[in-house]
Amino acid sequence: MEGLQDIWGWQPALYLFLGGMGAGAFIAAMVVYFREGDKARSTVFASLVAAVVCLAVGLLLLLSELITPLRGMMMWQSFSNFGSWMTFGAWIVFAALVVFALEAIVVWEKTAGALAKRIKGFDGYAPKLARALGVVSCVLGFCVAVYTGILLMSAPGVPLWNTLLLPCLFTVSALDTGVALVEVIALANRKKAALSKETNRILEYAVVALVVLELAVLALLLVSMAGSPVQESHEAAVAAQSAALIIGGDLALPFWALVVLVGLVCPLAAALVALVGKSDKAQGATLWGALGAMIGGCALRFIIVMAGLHADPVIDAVSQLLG
Amino acid sequence: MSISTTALDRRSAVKIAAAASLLAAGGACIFMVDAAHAEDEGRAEGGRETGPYAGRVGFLVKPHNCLNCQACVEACRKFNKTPESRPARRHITKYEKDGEALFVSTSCMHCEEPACASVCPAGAIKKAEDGVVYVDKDRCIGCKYCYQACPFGVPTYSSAAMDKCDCCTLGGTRPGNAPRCAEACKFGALHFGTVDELLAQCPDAKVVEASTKPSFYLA
Repeated sequence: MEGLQDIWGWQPALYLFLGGMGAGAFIAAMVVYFREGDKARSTVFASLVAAVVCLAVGLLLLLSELITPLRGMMMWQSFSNFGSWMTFGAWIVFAALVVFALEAIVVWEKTAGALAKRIKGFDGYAPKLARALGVVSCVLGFCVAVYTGILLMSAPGVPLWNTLLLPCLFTVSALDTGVALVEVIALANRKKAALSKETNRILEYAVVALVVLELAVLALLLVSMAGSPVQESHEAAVAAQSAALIIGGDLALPFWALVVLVGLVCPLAAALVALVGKSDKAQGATLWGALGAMIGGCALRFIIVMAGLHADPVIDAVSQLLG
Repeated sequence: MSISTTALDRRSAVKIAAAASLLAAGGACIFMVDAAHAEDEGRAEGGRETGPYAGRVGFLVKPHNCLNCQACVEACRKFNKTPESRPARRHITKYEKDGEALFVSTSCMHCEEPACASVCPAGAIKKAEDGVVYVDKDRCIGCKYCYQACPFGVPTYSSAAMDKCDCCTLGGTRPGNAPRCAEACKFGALHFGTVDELLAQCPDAKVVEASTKPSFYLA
């Protein structure tokens, strides 16, 4: 499709999705852990591993997009300008990856057991350590989720991205897709350690709240970009062009079908069915809703990245010369 | 605003073939030129942080004088050894409105507050004291964030690093010299100098407005 942003390929879009989902999954897993305690250990551990894998794959994707990936791996040099959000993000994702992995080690029975054998008194402070690491990780996870949006927001060349609404949208979507990932893992693990009815309800309520919020932020973003019919500046015109691409242009089909229908309407309907329906029906609905949310979250990142058209401020000055 | 733009490139296949055969035939010569160029780079390296120019520099473009002869693009491509396979550091864009057309030669705007430099995670993009914004290719990791940040979409990428106009400083322009593009313009459409000089020469020049404060004027 001609006329779309193509300097950044598929890797950054997938990185933004995986980073957000991994961070969201960690936070959702901690909610489950703090509510269910050791009963849900296996589900929480699997969710933490999934979160770590998401972040690690995301970082590898980011490296693979670089012209010189090997130089990029020397993080102390390649990510040394702390005035750049990309630097902040690379280190925060790296830190989150390490702390998430530590938390997974403390939470899992086998690794925790092995540590207890080697370190005297580990059993005594393991719950406190898990709680402390969990809180630190939740903060780091939230920072990662927000950062995925800030990375795009801090690029002043692209009007669609250069708005605070973008980190808001990506953060809500990160939490939404994270809850979905934990729901899928919990369902897959239900025979070994089913979540309590109350925890399931909390997750479903979270889905309803997050989807409604995401719909609102998404609508606000697109309406503010589409702007008024008379564009005051070239920048506003390019923003409107980006919005038009999404709403009714080349990206309209994946946007309406994957982001809105599959990614938001289906999970909302599924959560409502789960909240009012019987448990056997609810499980099927939850699974389809969660899968839909993940597909929608991924499509959203690709669409926003591809619709990021560049402005050309020279036009404004030239048009004055042209009278 | 209904204004259309067209990026122009008048390069003919014959020219490309000629350049390619020259390249093939003149391997040894190229090696010698490269050695001389490396020497120049070394000289420029010493004064990199201050830069060879006196005061904050910029470009003044007078589109009414531009005939789209592409001499500035050619000169830039030649001096900075930009191969045909990649876009030149400078290009001419045709702007049209209500049947009237203007050609505008643009390259890096050497902004006062370059967004490319502030977003570069590796700190590979710097602004010298004379205002020239340049890239340290040994530090660049090629994340392409600078392209997204630049309001003008200036950075291009080779297989080694980001590539953009440095006012010919890293290629070895001596103090007092204009970059090759401005020297090549025979119609008075492209001017280079300190911002003070440019504004003295053309007091009602229009500044191109962007959050990065470009050093680029139109008259």
